[in-house]
Amino acid sequence: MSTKRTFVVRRRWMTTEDVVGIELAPADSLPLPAFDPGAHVEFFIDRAGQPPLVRQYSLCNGPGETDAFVFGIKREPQSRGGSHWIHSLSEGDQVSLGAVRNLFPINRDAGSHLLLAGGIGITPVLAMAQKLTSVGADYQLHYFVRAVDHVAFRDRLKESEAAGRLHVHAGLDAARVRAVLGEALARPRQDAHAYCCGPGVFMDTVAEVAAAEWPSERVHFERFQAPAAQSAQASDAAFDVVLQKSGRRCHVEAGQSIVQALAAVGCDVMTSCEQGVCGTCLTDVLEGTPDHRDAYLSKAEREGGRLILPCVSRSNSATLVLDI
Amino acid sequence: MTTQVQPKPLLEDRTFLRHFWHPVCTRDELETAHPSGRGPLAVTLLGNRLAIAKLGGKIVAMDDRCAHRFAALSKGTVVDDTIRCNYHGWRYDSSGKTVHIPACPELPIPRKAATNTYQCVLKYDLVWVRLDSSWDCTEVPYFSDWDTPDMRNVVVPSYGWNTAAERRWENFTDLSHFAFVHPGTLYDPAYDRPPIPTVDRVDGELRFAIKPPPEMIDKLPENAPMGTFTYRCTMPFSINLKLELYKDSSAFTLWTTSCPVDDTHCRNFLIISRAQKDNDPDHVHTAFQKVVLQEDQPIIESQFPAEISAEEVSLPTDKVSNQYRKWLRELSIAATEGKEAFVRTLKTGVRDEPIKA
Repeated sequence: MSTKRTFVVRRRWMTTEDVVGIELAPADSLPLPAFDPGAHVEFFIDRAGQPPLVRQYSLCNGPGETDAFVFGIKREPQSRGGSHWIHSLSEGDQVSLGAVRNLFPINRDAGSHLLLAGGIGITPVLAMAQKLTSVGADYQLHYFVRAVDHVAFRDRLKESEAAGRLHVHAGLDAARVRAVLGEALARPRQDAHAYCCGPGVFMDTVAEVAAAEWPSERVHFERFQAPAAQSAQASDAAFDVVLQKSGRRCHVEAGQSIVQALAAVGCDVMTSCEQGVCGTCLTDVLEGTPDHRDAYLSKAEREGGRLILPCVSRSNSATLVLDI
Repeated sequence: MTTQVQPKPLLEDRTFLRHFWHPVCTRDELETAHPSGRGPLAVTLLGNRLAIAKLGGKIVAMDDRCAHRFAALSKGTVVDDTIRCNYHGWRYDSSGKTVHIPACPELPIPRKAATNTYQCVLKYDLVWVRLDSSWDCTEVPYFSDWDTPDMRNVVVPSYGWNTAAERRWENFTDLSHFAFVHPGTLYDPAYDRPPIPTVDRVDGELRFAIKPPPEMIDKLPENAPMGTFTYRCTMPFSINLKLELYKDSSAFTLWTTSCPVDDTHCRNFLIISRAQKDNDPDHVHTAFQKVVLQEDQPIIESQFPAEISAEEVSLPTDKVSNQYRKWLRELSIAATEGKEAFVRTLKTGVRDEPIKA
């Protein structure tokens, strides 16, 4: 959270009908942090009257593009705000970005690389392909799209294409996707690594097909999960919880949930989702003011202040007395 | 041998369901149960075995048990305006009272010679029964298009599933399963990130709406109904799913409800309602829905225990189910507190308003 930095939209263009390309340059003109292919960046998307949305998007930067972040972002028709908001940006608009992370790096010891992208999953893979091209590494890129005109960033794919390393598969049904993957993944070299990003079902299919001949540690996936409900963060305040029935008292640190703090003193609250959506841990509040972070209680219940979901919610008062 | 531990059911007390109207059979099923067209027909509702019959032009629901030696009245025969038990010939009128005992016609009829009857109505060509009408605070569920001119309604024969009615409701409203259970049938599997709609409580209904990506239509069978989905779901088991079709903006409604046969079985009712068009025979739609339901059924019947449980792991994307369960639990508890609490819990509107920063 502490690494928020302001960026400016330097360039914006549609790379396909539903994928926008954007270049974001730091507003302070200072250098970007170092990053490698496969990295993603957090976007903080402000919403009126609500906590900001946090979304992660992969970087498409090629080697040498070190003065601005390059993203390709698909407009998700069922967007909960993230992609829709980004599509609405214009050149010159400001954006708040957080940390750069890489959970999907190129393996340095690999002798060859198999890149598998489904739809918008091309973005981190594209960064990899550009890098691998520049260092003359051995790789193949299989790019699955709904139709040929859904191929994004054609300009950045040119070199892979010219080298005969790009294989675009358009409009295949599930069975044919599986068949193509079967061929691409057949008889891997001993030192080969595979990298896959795309829709969940696509990655599941890759995992199933690869299982036949690939050791799992040589197949890498980039999955962006639904963001969890707002949970404990380092910036949250600490507070005390008093357990009325046992008379015990327990301190809840910043970055720790009430349920975690209670467990640490031997009091187990029954939980299930741990994200404030299911209501399993619903607990009565006897004193204090809850800081609701759940997506379960109604507005009236939240304002009533007598109920709390301690798996995610916190306290606005120094002490919270629970009926446990 | 060790015993597998059974997760605790979410609803420990389901008696609140007796205060709602539930369908038990289609009109056609009652009429074809006997050549007379008047039944009787045996059905089960919330563990109660009932006999349904048409007596004196009125459809009645009564405990399926003759007071004499407890034989099933549904094995009997409708005679004049009575139902006759075919063990010893006792005859019952529409109020459930014995009006004739052939063995001793000269003796007075004992007061206890009666069977319980329940409120029963015919609506949407379905027979509805309410087991407990003492609070009289519920209505037959909402259906948007039954009386709309130029809409063609097809009442599909009812079908039983080996699961609780709650699970069937959750299956029909589940926005996350399309990509996995119905790939290529109802949904393009590329869209496996489900939407999270706002979910409101209005007039005893759970209401929400989604807009699936219109471009999916290219990947789906011609008869797959695809458009904006607007759900109005009268508690506890009904669903009015109204679509405005992307292909021609015409109306298409899937209306369904589920009879809670007992804790682990349900009987499902489906009415397909669509704008009347040329060259659009009913069988196209009924056959398509059958395909969909056959994709669902083995998965839903595999869920065990059949009763929904608080120990299942929920996600934010399960919001509809999470909020449905929340309301069911509140209704279950409120019913034990009395009519006032129950009516308040059922009728109080709740707007889905996210947490303000």
